[in-house]
Amino acid sequence: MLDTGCCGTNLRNDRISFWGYFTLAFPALIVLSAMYPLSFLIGSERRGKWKTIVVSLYEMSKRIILVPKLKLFISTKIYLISPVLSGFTFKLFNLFWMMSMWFLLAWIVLTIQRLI
Amino acid sequence: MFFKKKLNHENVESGDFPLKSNHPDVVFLDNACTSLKPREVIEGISSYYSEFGSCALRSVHKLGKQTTTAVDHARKKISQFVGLKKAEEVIFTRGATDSINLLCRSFQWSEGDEVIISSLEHNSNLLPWIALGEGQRVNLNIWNIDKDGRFDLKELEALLSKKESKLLSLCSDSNIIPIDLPLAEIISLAHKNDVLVHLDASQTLLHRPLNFNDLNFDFMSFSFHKILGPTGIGALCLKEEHYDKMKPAILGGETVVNVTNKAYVLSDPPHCYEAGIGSYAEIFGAVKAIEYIEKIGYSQIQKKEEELSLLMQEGLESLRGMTFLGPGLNSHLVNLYLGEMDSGELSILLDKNYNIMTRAGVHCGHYWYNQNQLNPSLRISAAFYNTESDIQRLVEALQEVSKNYL
Ligand SMILES: Cc1ncc(COP(=O)(O)O)c(C=O)c1O
Repeated sequence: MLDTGCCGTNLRNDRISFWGYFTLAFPALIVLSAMYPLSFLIGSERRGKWKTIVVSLYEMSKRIILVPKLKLFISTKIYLISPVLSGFTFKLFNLFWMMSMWFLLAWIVLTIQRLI
Repeated sequence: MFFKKKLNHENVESGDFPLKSNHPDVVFLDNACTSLKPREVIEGISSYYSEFGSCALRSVHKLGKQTTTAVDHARKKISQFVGLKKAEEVIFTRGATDSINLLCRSFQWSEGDEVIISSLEHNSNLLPWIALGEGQRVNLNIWNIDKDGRFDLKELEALLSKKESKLLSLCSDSNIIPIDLPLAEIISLAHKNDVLVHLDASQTLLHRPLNFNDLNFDFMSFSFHKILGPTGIGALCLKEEHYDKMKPAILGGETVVNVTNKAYVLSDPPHCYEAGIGSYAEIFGAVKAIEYIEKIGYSQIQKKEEELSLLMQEGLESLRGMTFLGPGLNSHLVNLYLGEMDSGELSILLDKNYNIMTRAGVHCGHYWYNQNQLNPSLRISAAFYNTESDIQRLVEALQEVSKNYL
């Protein structure tokens, strides 16, 4: 959360819980995106709905508070090279982060399994 | 553009404002929070320390007398600036917040009295009244102004006509959204119902005059740092007759003419409301701020701000993802959302990437944001010393953010 004193930047009323997104919406987003080519088999109307769900899940990811200072730090540094890349980093930061956490979790589980 | 283009910082008028010369690449659009200070104001402050350096009203030596004369002159100047007849009708305070608290605590309330404010007030014109209700039995009524800046005068009239209503305390301009309250009508409605009127003029005097003569209100509070002056100095201005309804809430040096172990004799107002040593250096700076405004003239100020507002309007209204809070755009103050972007993050991007200073959050208007279930937003506030190129840079920056970051 951005800490900017009493001016209340942190008072958003449409925040999404990190854990809810991480465990439900994020896997759904990954699965639905990965399987998107299949949507071409189910007709254009259903494909439209599929796309809407994927886009909404992606948009939701922006409403999670996840190390915002790091996100801004990285994006503003990248801005010095390219505004487009900076915007790209800014938009996808939460997804990158969650993806890394899933990989980390998977790695931990696999390592423990191997040790056992 | 994929690669960052080099910013062009030409055209920055820095002459009168040292902060602009020291930060030629900065675009300052947070003027509703505090204004920039002209060189004269900064020199005025230091002239107290280098040339006067004494206590007013207390020391009879020549430096003390000079300070007393200068402070008296300042009081006169301020009273004329707000259209009051006498210097004694100006009480020096630490700022608008202090002025409102002083009024709130010094006014002699009776049990059951009611105060009316609008829902759009800054916390400084809300919390003192809430606190007053907690201690004594003074009730607070809130007149609703909705998220589009709409209000119903009939609703206000109904509140004013309650026999318990004693004081209406309103901002003459809001720090949250641009709003044009029909002040003359409101004041005459209040007076018709024997309700006194206090105006929080914090957001007004940098942009337009506000005058006891023209509008006939009863009390007025403001801070000098918002009108080119120093921080830590403000004024509570009032018509002399209202001193009868007040009693100083804070006592100390300068507030009394005599004291025994059980009693004290108060000095005459305004001195009995100014406990402790005065903020002399800031008072010196405050006078210079008024002189600067008078030198430029409100008509010039308004003309320049109208031009800047128009530029903002043209540049911002068609931007992708842009929505505005309040009635619209034709003002030096704009409060907005860019898509779903967090206002704090947007403000930081504008600062770090584009060197543009704005303000994010709920702007000390928690009540209004909560009541309207609004998210924190980004406030852009221009002043007459901003340039066309400042606005152009803002528009270009927001265009780029809208394109790349949404
Ligand atoms: C409308 C309004 N009232 C009161 C205040 C409080 O002013 P200060 O903090 O200078 O006392 C502000 C400051 O932003 C304001 O905008």
